[in-house]
Amino acid sequence: MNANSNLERMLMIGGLILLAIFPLLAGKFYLQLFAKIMIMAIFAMSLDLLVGFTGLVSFGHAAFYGVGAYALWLASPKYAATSLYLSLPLAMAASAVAALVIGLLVLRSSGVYFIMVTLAFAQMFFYYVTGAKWLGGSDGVYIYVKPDAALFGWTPFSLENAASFYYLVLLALAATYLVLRLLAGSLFGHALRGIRGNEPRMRALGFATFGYKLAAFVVAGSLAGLAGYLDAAQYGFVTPDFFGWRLSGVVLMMVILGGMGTLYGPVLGAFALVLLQDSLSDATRHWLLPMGIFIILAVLLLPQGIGGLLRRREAEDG
Amino acid sequence: MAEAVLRARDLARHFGGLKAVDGVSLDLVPGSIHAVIGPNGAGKTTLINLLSGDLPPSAGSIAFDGREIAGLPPERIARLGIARSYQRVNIFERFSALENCRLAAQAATRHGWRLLCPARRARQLDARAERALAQVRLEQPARIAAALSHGERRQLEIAMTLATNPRVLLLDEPLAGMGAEESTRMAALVKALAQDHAVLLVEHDMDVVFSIADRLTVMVDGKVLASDTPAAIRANAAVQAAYLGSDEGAA
Repeated sequence: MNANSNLERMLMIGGLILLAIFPLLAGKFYLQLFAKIMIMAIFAMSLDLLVGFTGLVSFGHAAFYGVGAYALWLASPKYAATSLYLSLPLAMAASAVAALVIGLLVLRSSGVYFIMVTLAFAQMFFYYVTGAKWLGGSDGVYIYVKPDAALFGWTPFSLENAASFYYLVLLALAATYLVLRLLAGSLFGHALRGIRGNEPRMRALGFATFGYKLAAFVVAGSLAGLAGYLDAAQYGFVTPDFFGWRLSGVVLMMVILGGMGTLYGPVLGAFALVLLQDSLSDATRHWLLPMGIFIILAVLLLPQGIGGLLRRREAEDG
Repeated sequence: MAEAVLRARDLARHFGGLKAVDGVSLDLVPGSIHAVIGPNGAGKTTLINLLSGDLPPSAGSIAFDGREIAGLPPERIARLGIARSYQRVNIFERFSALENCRLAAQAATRHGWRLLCPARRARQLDARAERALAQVRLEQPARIAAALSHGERRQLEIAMTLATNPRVLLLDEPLAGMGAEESTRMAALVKALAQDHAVLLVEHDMDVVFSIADRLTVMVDGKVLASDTPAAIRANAAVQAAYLGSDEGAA
C-alpha cells in the first residue's frame, strides 16, 4: 500500500511537472490538444468516482458535461464576457442539481438496468436540447467571448491566451484529482468501496447506501459539469452532441482502458485514447480499425487498465 | 427471566405458493442463546432474513424493545442494534480485517461532515474495530480478508457484527465448514457473547447446539414443531420422529 501510494505520488508529481513545462516546448496546436485531453481527463476522473469507486456503471455521464457547457452559454451575454468566478461555480451547481434529480430516480436501479436508465436520461437531455429553440436546437450555440478572469478590475490572465487557458485547465485537473483523492481516502470513500464490493452487506451493517450513492453521483455530476464548462470555454461552440451517448461511451472507455478506481488511470486513459486517435487518424483514413484492435488488445492484456501496470494487485484497495 | 428484547409473532414469508416461513413466533432474551434447528429447507435462514430486514415478512410482527420493526429496511434495523452474520462468509475481500471491522463500526456511528475525515485517522472507529477483533481473537488485523483461512474468515464475520455494537446477534451457521478445534473455539465464543447479547443461533452441529443453547426451536417446513429447553426437546417424541431420529448428525 505505502510503496504503491509513493509510486503514485511520484507519478502524479512527475506528470504535473511535465504538464506544467509543456507550454514552454509546444506550439499552440498542441497546447489546445493537451488542454482538451486534460478536460477529458477531468471528465473521466469524475466518472471513475462512480464506476471505479462506487461500482455504478453510468452510461449517461455526458448529461452533466452538457449541462455544464450549456450553463456557460446561458451565463454569457451575447457579445460580452461573463465572469469566470461566477459562471464556473454556476455551471458546476447546475450540473450538481441535474445529478441530484437524475440520481434520485436512477439510483433505485442497479446493474444492467442502471446502465440503461442512465443512458435513457442522457438521451432525454439530448433530444430535448436538439428540439429546443431557446437552446439553439440541433445547430448548437456559440460563445463568442471567453469568460473573463478579472477580479475587482484586475485581470491576472486572459483565457483568450492559449497558454493561460492551458494552465487554468491544468489547475482544474490537479484540483479535481486532489478532491477525489481525499474523498477516496475518507470514511465516505471507504463506504463507497464497500458498496462496490457488496451493497447488501453494507445495508446489513447499517449503511443507508442510497444516500452515499446519491452523494457520489452529485459530486461526479458537478465535476463532469466542470469539464463541460471548460470544453465550452475552450472552443466556444456547444452542440447537443455534448449530451450524446457517444461521449458517454468514450469517457467510459477512458476509465476502463486507464484502470478503474485509480483516478490516475482515467487520466492515462484520456491521454492514450485521444493521442492514439490523433496519430492514427493522421496516418490513415481507416484509423478506426487499428484503434479497435488496440482497444481489444488493451482489454485482453491489461484487465486492470494501463494504470494497472503500475500497481500490484494486492494494493487494489485499502 | 429477563424481558425479551426481540419478539416475533406469527411471522410468515411466502415465495409464490411456497411457505418458507409459516407462522413462527419466538422471543430473544438478553443473556441467552436461542437456537433454531431443523432439516435443510426448514426456513431457518429465511427466518433470519425476516428478522434482519433483508426480506420483508408477508405477515406477522416483529417488536424490538416494544417497537414494531417488521418491514423496515435492513439498514434501519441494523442501526437499531440487530446484527447478523451470514451462512456463506460475507466480508469485504479486498479490505484488511481491521478495515472490515472499521467499516462495520462506521455503520453504527453518526458522522455528518466527519465522514470526510481520512479513514486512517478515525481512531475511535479503529479502537472499536480492534476491540471486536480482540473479542473473536483474530490476530494480525492488517491482513487482507481474502488471505485469511476459512476459520479466520468466520471469526472476522462475527467481529464485524460485534463492531456495530449490537444488542441482538443473529448468527447463521457460524460453525459451518470448520474443523473440530475451530468449532470448539467458536462455540465457546458464541457462549461468551451471549453474556451481553441476545443471540439467535442457527446451527447444524447438534452437539454444540444442545450444549450451549438455553432454548431451542425446531422448525420443519417453515413451521415451528416445538420450542422448549434443550432437555425437553431431546425428550420430545414428535421432534425425534420428524427430525432427530431420521437426520441425526447431519452436517
